[in-house]
Amino acid sequence: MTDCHGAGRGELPLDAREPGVARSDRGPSRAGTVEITRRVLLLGNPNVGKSTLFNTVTGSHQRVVNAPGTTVELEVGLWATIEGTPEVVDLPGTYSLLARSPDEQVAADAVTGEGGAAGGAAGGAADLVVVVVDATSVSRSLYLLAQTAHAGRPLVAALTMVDRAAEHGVVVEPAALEAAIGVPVVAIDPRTGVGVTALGRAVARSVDEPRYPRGIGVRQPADGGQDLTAELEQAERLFQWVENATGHLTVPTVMRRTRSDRIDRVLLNPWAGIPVFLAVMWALFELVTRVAAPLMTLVSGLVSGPASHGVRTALSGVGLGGGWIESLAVDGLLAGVGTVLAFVPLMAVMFVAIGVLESSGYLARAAFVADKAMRAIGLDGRAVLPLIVGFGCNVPALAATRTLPNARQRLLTGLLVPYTSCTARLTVYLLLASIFFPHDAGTVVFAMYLLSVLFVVGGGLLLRRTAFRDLRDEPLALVLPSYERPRLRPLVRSAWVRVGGFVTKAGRVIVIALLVIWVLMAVPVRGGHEVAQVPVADSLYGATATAVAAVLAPAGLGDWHVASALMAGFVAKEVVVGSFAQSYAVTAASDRGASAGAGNPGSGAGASLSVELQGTLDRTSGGKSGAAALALMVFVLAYTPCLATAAEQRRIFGRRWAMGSMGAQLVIAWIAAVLVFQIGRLW
Amino acid sequence: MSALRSVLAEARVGGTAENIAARLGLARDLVDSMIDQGERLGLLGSAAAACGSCVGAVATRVVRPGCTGCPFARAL
Repeated sequence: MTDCHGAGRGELPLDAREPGVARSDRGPSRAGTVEITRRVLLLGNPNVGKSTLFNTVTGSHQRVVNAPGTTVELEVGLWATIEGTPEVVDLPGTYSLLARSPDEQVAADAVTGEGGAAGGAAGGAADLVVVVVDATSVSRSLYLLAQTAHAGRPLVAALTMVDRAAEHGVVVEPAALEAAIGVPVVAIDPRTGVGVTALGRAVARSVDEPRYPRGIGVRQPADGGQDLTAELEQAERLFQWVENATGHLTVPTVMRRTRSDRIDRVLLNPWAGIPVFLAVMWALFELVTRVAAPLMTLVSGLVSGPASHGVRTALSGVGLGGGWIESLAVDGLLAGVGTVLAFVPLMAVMFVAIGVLESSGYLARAAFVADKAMRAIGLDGRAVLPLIVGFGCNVPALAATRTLPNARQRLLTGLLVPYTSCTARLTVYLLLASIFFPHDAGTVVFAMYLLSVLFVVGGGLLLRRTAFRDLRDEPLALVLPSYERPRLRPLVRSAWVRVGGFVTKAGRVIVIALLVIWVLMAVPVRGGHEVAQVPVADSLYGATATAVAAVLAPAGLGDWHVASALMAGFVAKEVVVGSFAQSYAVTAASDRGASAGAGNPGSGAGASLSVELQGTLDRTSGGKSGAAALALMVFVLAYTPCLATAAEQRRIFGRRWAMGSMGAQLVIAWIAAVLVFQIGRLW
Repeated sequence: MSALRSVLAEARVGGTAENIAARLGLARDLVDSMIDQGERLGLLGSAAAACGSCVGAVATRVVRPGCTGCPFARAL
């Protein structure tokens, strides 16, 4: 390491970067000239208002990207109010550039410009780093700032939580702090936007004329891979700098008790905190199932009704109606788009709800309360949110994994989410339980939910002992943020960006997969039918189901109707019941009756489907249809998640993990179903 | 001795962040930050992590902070 203090004042030499020279490595513009853009990184400890600041300065000019080679998501946007509209990157929160998790590593690499692909997460070295300094925890924030300066990055400090610090009796004057550390310090309130314009001006000035803190040497490239003694000495110097910089601050020895402290005395108390936590989680579950469901139905109805009618009319108008082109357009393409759009209200509701929990400060408390239970299966307390949401719908549950700060924890939780039994699977349980266990239907359905929990717990324990042995069993150390009133605009803005990410990325996979299924169902393999005018049994899809049925025989499910319904269940678990009705050529009316009359199988039009199913499973199970029905329910619980879930898994965790997860689930489901049937047939 | 070394030394003999801050006259968040950095450098283990197993049964020369004061954790 080399100390590069400037003469006299101990400042960094300004030739560490050429001031005012913009990056020119982003490739030529269309006009053939070099495109001049600049990049600003937002860095800070967790829960200091960094992401709120990002939303405030970027407005709607933002997108979510994965850091190259990682599953760590970064939000990138344009600082529209600054001349030249520099790109701004919201880095994962961290306390140190000595990373302990993949997320922290992305932040560290982005600041230092090291780490290969991950280092390029923010496109290589940045022009400026805005370090968000928490006034309630100045020393801790300044250590991160000191490390950033030591990495040779010019800085601006954005001071947040000044009012909160004052509540504790801590007075932080921006001007005094600026004089002490030697870089611009701007007090801001990211939630109200106060001070953000001044921060923009400071950033614009500092991009052109970089400023570096006084008294911190720049780490040289040769210093990489220092031994422990050198690392410790460097930490000593940086902490000494922090002590000097904060020496003028008024910090009382005893902190005052704030409103948040008083609320926490209740919410973190086990007797009150756990019931409140359960009530909040119940409300979230209700939001996913009851509030979003009618909106999803509305969107589906619009697509399958007026939109489909419009497309059919338009095609008829140009002479393309009634044939395979109409079927492809309506039953393939439009159905795929409709499936994606139907999820939009659900995802939007979920993102806003998560945002409210996060920005209000309650999410950190929920994680604290649930930590002990989650730790029993090797997970962080924060994993409780996605796992509970999963019982409503797996797709937003995967999105909720973003509340976990560690990429490996997010991946582990994301792999367990499909085992939480979503409400779509409930329709299958109800149908089968009411047909095969009419007197114990409630008990059987409850047992399926119990089994779902066992799959999550067992899967968590198994994965922690195999593929996730690297996850250290660290205690949950959370800085509990003050309670705040959530602001609507940033919440809606953030939800809009994330829903957009779902529609464009996961949506593409869903549409393509549904088109493939349309092709399978449209192509006849026997019977001399025309393309797209073929009964399921005579289609390529039916032939595939017949082949798959042989694999299901050890579970007492060796029938093409069952295989066909399970294949359809890959698209959406809601269509399993409908697929049964379709493959048995039961009328649409009786199909609806089967669902509606699930509680009473012998009644109404549902009876025909009940009789058909009973007959099929009697035949495939050698008279042990109850055992086969149980095996079928277990298979539905455990096998591949629906297409939307798979697409979201692929979007968040990458193709390799998504495919691996689906393959493993198929195998596990098959083994579980075979075990259930083979043991069940003994009775 | 630097503040960081003092904090690490106090932590090694079982001091909590709050006690260390009071004893050394340092800001609590500065002590938190030093302990965190000490853990990241591998100079300290988490006290809570020691609760899962008894260090006395493990052949190691590193005594976790949570175990200081425990007779089984000595003389290794």
